[in-house]
Amino acid sequence: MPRSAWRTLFLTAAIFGAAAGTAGAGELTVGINLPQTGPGSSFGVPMMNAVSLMPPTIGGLKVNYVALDSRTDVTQTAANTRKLISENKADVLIGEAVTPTSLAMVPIAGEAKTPLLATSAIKSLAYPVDDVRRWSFKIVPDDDTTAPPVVKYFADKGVKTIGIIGFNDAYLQVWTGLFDQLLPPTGMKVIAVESFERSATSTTPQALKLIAAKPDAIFVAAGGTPAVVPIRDLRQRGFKGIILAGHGIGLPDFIDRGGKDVEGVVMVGEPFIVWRDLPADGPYHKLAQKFVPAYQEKFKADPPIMAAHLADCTTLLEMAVPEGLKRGQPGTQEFKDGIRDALENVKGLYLNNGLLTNSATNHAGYDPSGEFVMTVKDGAFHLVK
Amino acid sequence: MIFWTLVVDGVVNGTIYALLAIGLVLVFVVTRVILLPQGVYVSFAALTLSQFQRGNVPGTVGLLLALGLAAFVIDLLRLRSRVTRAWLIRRVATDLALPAIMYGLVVWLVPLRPNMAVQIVLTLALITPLGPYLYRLAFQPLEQASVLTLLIASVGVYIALTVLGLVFFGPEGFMANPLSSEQFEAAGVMISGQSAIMVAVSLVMMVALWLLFDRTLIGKAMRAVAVNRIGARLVGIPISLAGEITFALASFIGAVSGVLIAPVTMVYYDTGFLIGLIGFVAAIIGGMGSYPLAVAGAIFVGLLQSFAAFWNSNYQQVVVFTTLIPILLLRSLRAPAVEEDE
Repeated sequence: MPRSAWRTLFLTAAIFGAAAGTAGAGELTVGINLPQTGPGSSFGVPMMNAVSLMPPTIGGLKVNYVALDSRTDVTQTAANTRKLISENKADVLIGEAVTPTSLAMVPIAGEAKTPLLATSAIKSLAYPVDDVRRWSFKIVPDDDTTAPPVVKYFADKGVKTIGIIGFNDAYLQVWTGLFDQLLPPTGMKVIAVESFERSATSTTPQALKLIAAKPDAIFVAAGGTPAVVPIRDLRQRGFKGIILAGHGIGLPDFIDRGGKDVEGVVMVGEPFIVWRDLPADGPYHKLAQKFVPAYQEKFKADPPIMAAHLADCTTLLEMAVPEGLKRGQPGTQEFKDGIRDALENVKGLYLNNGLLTNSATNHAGYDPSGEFVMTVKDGAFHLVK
Repeated sequence: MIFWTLVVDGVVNGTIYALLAIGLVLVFVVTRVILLPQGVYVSFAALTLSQFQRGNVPGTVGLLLALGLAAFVIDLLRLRSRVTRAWLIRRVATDLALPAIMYGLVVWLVPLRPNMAVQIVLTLALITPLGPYLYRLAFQPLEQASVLTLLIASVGVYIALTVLGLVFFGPEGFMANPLSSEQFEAAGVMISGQSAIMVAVSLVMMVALWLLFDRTLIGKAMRAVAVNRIGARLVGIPISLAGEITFALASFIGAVSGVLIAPVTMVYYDTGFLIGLIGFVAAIIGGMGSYPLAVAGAIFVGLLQSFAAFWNSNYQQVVVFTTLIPILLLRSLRAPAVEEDE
């Protein structure tokens, strides 16, 4: 073949190759990084399921969903996030399910100036809002949001003294700090704080000490399955008062492991968990109605709260993408800036996770009025009226 | 009432520490290795059982394959010219075939959702071979080295195992389903079925070990190695085989302990070290030589932990480890200096 023909062939191939990783013109690219395998898969699998229910078009744009498996691994997450940004030219990122991997996505998204919808619970994903975190927005409410309803519940029940038990880690400090802040005006006091080691084979001594202090209510500063251990000990050693736990227990695993011992445990959590008990004409019930039947039909199971995070991502994108289009086309920095600004300025938006009003200093702006008091009854969470 | 509840709690925890202490003493007297990673068998077993209960293939199968291959290669390189056909057949069976068979067995059984008994047997079968592999990988080449060198190797093994644990099990913690949800009352104190099972199994294990050492030839051979290595070699007892069997016993004990504590607490990939360390304190009380004293020490440590947690939960671990100081002082003042060789 003559040399010029080779050159043409080569150039053509190069152009096609470069175009291979990008979306078509006028397409929104949503980059998703979730743990389909590894220890976080119990969260990641329902979330990935929910991804398949996300709409094909948002704001008039065709959506190109690129979902990668993080394998619950920080290194893989970093590689995935970079790939989504540079190769797939993601306009928006969604991820992850557990703390270490979620934290890993934040600086990468910030550096690439790409909005990140952070779907796990830890506050530092979007706090404080600085140059890096101005690009991350939390889908899951912080503990700060659930604290005022907790205090109000205690006050309504006539609780005067509170005992706290938790892991010997930062989460316990978060709650002792929150109580220090919120309790003084109410006249309630924390009279005992017990901690236990991660490797403790028994929490009986701490449970006994806490019971001996005779608090009216006990707050368990632990999330998920670990919270079962102190709750079980407290009940078995005869504590009959109110037990309230952090909203991290809102998982089916907790009820599974806890069995009879966690009946009656109270928590303040997201509306989605008790949507069936909420008024049928209210916003949360309607939101869940849009999402739950589709999930149930496709996956033959009730969606857990983390699946609803993706439904909330859809709602937020439907709000933000038109704003982004006013600034620029998908694939451009102006488009991403527009989405970011829209996410930052959202006011009074009803989501499965609560009522969201963000600001330049608060990217997890859930209102306490959007979180509900619920209890474990007959093996499921139910609204406490 | 609180007092007796704490006593029961301390004794129950103490029996688990007793098992660990026995494993530590056993390994030390026969091989002179202070096996700091003893607790790692416990956490790996707990994690393996939890993974089975979730219907997952546990990372242990990968670990077993990796360690088996490594042990095989190391031994092959070490023996090089002295490799015989018989040796090769035996080692391929234990190092390559065994992990492969376990892998296939687990992958086949997990989707069938076997019951608790099968899960426990599989867990024990997965964890026990880890002991001999580790011995051959890290300690057998150092057979003639001093106790200090072996201790440093032990620290290295612990670090490697913790990293491997993170690779194969991930950073999340797991808790297994209890073996029994029963609760009964004895003299005003509530005792759970799980605790009763823990104590019963530990006692059975201790009796079984005692019978092994007292009544069987293998047990007596191991005691011989413990008493006098050169003398044992002279009468034809293979030292390295004794070492392998000892490590297998230690990992079996660790596996049983892991299965027992899996429902009681959240276990992470790094939980094992702390549990092993507490067993170590108990073994120190027994002077690293006496089984009854180690068991008594373990019960003491369990009680101490219970009462310390009650007195001030923040200082729970501090109290337990601080008791090492007076105990070591006492022992070093009373015990004569021990010569390494006869």
